[in-house]
Amino acid sequence: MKSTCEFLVIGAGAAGSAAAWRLAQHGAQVTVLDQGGWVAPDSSPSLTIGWERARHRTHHPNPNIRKNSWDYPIDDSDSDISPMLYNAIGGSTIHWGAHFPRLKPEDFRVKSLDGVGEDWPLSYFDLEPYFEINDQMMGVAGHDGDPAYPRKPHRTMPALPLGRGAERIAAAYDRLNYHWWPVDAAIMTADHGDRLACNNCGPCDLGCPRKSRASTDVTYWSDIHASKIRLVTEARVSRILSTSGRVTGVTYFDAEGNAQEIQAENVVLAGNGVGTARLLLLSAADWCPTGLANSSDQVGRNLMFHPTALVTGIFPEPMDGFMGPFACSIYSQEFYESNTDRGFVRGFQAQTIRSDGPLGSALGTYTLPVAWGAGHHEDFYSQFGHTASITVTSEDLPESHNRVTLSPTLKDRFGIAAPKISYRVSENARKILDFGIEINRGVLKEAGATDIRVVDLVTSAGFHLLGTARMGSDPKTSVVNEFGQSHDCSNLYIVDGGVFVTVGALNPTSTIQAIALRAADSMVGAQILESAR
Amino acid sequence: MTSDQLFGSTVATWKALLETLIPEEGNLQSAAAVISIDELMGDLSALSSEAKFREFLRQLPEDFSLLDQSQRESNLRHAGLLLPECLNALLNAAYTIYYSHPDILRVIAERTGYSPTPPQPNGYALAPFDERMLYKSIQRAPMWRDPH
Repeated sequence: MKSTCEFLVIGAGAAGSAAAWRLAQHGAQVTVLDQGGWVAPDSSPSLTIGWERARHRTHHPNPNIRKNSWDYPIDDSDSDISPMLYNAIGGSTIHWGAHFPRLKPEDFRVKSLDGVGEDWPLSYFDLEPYFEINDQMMGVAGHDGDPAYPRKPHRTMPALPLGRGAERIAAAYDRLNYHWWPVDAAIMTADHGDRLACNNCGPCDLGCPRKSRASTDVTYWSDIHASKIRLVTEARVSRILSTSGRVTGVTYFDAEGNAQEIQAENVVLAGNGVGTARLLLLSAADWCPTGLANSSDQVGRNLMFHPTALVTGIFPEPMDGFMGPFACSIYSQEFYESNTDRGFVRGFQAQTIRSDGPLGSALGTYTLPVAWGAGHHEDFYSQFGHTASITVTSEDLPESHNRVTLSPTLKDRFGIAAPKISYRVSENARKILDFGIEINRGVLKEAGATDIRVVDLVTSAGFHLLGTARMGSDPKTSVVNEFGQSHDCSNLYIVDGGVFVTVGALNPTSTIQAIALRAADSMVGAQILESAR
Repeated sequence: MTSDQLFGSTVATWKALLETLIPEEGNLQSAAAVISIDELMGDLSALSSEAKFREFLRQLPEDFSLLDQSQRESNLRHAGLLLPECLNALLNAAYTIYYSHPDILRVIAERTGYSPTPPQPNGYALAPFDERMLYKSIQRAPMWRDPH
């Protein structure tokens, strides 16, 4: 039997949860489909002795390794970087590090300011009120006054503890006259309701039994307005149905594998930069033979990942880096902006990373693995508990050839074509990474590291899936407008990271969610909030 | 285990491979002493294709298990250059099982003070952030660009 709804949101991750909540808050009738299910916070492997093994097998962030029944395979054989994502209520926020910066004002104007990429059709200040709503919903710990940003609302929860490694690096930054600041983290540092203050256990990516680390299943979905939403779990959407210029609903496979159809007045896509592009391409029809919403031929193109290098310092003294949220301590934006003397445009974010448990240290999840052979034990004990790392996260500019297409051979368990990723690190990004590596070698040396090891490209760090359905004012060169509304189908919206025009060098989740909230206001004709600035 | 289950090789060769990756040293056990070949084969099967592993093992000399550590390392490095994904998978499986083993975690705890208990529910106590550390950063002029 076909059911109907006013707004059908596909994907209950960072973006879909925020959009659905906002729509429900406005009184809209909302149905959400997600191909995953609920993941109970107290099912986290961090409560078990086998937590590290789970991290590298059953709970691996790469769906091709994890192979959960809810996942779909991704052909990444033609990509320099492997994608990381999670399918569940909460999406990839189930397994993220919760580093929560916003894109900066200049990130929305890189064409005008730096002559590369494209400008966005909206600004940082257009998003500012929505950043603030989202911060309230997710819960953000941090410290006021970062000179790298316009003034943000007072952070009511204190910044996370730095730990020994970050304290050493912060002191080195000071001696080198480099900027640093405690990160904004979507992690509670004070109790609030059923969310307890972080107890510094370390592996945020395994889920948080205390609900300290935000994920949208425990933030947006626990709010009263979410109770009005109809949620269908384990629903794998196979196709968006459309007639010329209008979408009419979707087909999907339910938990039992039965084909279902649901009609909708509006469809809101929030399946991330890979999943959404895949679904649009799967939804080609007679009137749109190259894919839905794809008259510009931009669907799937301009995939951006944020290429990342990692510089690790080994210190003679214990750094105890297995204590504290893995991804969240301090960051530096000293080299964020363009400086043409350096031979490249744009720059990088340097994010201090704590270290790992014994297995993660040995495998070198993002760092180099411990040496095998005769020197193994010496190498292991010199590193374990004695490291601190700095990521060099590069600006990644849009390039048409970096893209998501449909695999001609690989299919998911329902027989639906899997996405294929074609991605090469650009020459500009490579120069940024090389520059950033040398800068951070100097930082770690200044901090007292006696051995420094470098991964010049972390190939497993494809966490940010961006740009494949970009927004813009011109329907010839973009897929959606500033409110995520398709240029081709007026009742189709995209609210995930696919709509990013450029990506800066910063983690995108905060910006993705602000965009989704603003788009939701537009969908129901509500007044668009304006910055008080 | 049958030769087929061992990807055409022998228990002795697999034990020698583990010994090569993580050898015994003082009171630190070797991977061969800790890891069961059954468990290793189960983990490897999920990480790489059997056909590739058979090819990888064919790169090793028949008397691999009789060679000394240095010779085994040399042979293994050579095989790894030809089929790096197999060496990586072997390393991944060996490290994963070894560093998840309670005996090894106990030794690490004894040597480093690391607690081998799960991270939760106890977590760790860390000193709170001291905002006085920002004395220098806070003096900086704004370092974002207003595009308007």
